Amino acid sequence: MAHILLVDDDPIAVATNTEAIETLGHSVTSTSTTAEAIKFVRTDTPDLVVMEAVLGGKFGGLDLARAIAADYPDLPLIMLTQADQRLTNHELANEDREGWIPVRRYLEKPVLTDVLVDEIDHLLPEAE
Amino acid sequence: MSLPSLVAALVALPAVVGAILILITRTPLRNALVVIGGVAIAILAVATVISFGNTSGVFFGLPGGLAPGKALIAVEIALTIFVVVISLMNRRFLAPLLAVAQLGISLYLEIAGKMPEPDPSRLFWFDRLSLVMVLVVGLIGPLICINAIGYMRAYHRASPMIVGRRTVFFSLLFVFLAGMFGLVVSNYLPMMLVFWEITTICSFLLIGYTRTDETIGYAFRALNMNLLGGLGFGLAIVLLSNQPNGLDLAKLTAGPASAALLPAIALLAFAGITKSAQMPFSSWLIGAMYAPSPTSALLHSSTMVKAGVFLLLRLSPAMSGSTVGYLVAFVGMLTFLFASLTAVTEQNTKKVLAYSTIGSLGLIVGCAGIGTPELAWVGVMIIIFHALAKGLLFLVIGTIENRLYTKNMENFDALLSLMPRVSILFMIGIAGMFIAPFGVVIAKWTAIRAFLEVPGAAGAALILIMAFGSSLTIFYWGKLLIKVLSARRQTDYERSIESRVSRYEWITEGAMAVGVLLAAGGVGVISDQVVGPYALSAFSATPRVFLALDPVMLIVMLSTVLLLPFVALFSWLRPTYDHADFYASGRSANVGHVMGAALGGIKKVTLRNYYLDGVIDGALMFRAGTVACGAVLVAMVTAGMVVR
Repeated sequence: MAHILLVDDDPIAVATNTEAIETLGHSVTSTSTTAEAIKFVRTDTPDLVVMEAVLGGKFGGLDLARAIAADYPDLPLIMLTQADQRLTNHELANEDREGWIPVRRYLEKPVLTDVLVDEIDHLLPEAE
Repeated sequence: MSLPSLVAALVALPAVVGAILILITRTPLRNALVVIGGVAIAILAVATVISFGNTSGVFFGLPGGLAPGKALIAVEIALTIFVVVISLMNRRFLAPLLAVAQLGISLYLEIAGKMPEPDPSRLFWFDRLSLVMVLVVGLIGPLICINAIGYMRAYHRASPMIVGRRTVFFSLLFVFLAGMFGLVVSNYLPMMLVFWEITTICSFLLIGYTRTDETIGYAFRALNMNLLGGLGFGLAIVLLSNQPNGLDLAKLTAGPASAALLPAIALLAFAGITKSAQMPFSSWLIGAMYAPSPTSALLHSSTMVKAGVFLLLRLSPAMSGSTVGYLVAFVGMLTFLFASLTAVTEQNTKKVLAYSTIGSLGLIVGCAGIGTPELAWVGVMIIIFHALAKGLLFLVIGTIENRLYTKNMENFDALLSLMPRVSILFMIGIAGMFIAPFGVVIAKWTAIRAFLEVPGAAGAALILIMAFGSSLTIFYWGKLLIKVLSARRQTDYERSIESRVSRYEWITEGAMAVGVLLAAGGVGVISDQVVGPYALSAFSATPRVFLALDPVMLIVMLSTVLLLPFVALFSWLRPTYDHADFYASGRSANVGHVMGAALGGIKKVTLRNYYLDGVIDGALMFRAGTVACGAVLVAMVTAGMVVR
């Protein structure tokens, strides 16, 4: 079964999503800071990362996604975020461009846990 | 402006807009052109219909008496080169073979001098059926294009790594419309074939938009099947080229075909069956569901599959009463039955809509094959109402899909309380498909009456298929409606989802919903002024009443349907119930309806069987339909060639 990294600083979101993902039989590690996340990816590369875009009040998640994708282009990333209301016009104009952020899915909260779980299943590389 | 120049403009305008769009890479500029182009096409379509007035049919040539000359063969060569190059780039070899074979046929006719010169004053044929199609393509098509502005933005936002080219996408939507306009006004068959192939290639490119291995596979499946149909069309042209007036569609279909013409009619019907995604060629339309939703909306409502049934309805008077006609009808009706059986077992809402399209088209094919005035009336009524309702449904599904990130019907529970306004549009679309007084139901009812007059065992079989197939459609539409109508308390946070829907989507989906309601209210006028006279003139039949509708009854039925969402909203506003999660005994593995099973396994618990799991095997039904319809199709083509 796959190993999923969950990066979010909202404890309720972490708890709900961890439970839903573990139901599928995957193991979940969660962190709340980008520094920890990067360290974890380097030492113990997960099969998939689910991350919030707003970490520590800033758009740390966007840079985190870019950093991970630069080193691990095949690692599927899902951005699960409520950043939308806070995006600047610059970011909004940017995001109209394809590939503006190197994540497979950019999902705005609230997302049904069933849906998140489906997305994870769909993006995980075929189980051996 | 005169009708000939309006029709020429109608074909040229979308093509020009498409050509300009491919040069525009800046989003705001593109959006503006899509809106302006779309509105202009709609105005032109309405102007064309007004200019046509209420005559029964006119023929004309190109403005200034131009002849198509070598232009047709030049376009065919260009299309073939395109297919060959793009197929070889993707290492596919069937499509180039089919395309080259078809070009070979055209070149042979051209070089051997066997192609009779067309009558320059009878290149185009505009009658009430063309009128219906021009309105369907010209009003619904632009709405889908404008809706796509909002959809594609949300689509790319949610999947940032899909490298689709929106420039090409919007350009293709408009070229597609140009191809459809050309197709539905063509009277000269080789010209119709060129437009036919343009729609094939546009749909191929639109289906393969995301360029993943999966969608490229589906795109080539669509291309192969439709090129096979095109090859049949080409062979029919060879057979017709040495018949007097054989290539003049209006003269060819003026009455029951003579024995000499039946082989060609059978081949043309074969082409119509491939394009309208009848079994055994249904799988291309199911694969097309992986494309962005505006593509689905376009393929299902106003273009592509409607071109197939349009040709079959045109052929209907010629097939009437022949073995070929009966067998075509059975391909359609069996497709209706098996597609409905498969739809019941499907959870992916887009696929349910796709099976429902295949089924509805099957009904039209069934009507066209038997070929009586009543059934032609039914066929055209279904085209109109299906185009409106299904177009709306696909656009709404697209809107939901981009906000809830799911197409799975199981996740649509209590949609009404989550996205109330979108849900109301959704319900209008669903109602348009299966609730009286919307046209599809009225048409089905008339079809049952008309099938009663088909003599012998064939008539009895048609009635049985109709009864069983229709009950299945009611089951899957009802299921979807109930899911949407259920209510649950939502937090404000959850309800903020609806505020993300763009104004492009609101305006176009609202307009389509109004269209569904207006068409339902005006069903009497549509029948008396347009569809009825068409059916009579196509079959040179004596006047009769197709639809006797009590206006009071109509108003009562319409207002009852409109009350539905309000009843649900009312109960939701007065929450006198407690919401409890379900309880099942056993070791619960977590909250997600997953229970621990013996030996440490886990099992998803379902408390309902909306999909008839273990009762109907969807995949098996689809295969069974493919085999059965394949056999009937072979019999049909053979009968056309041999039995006469």
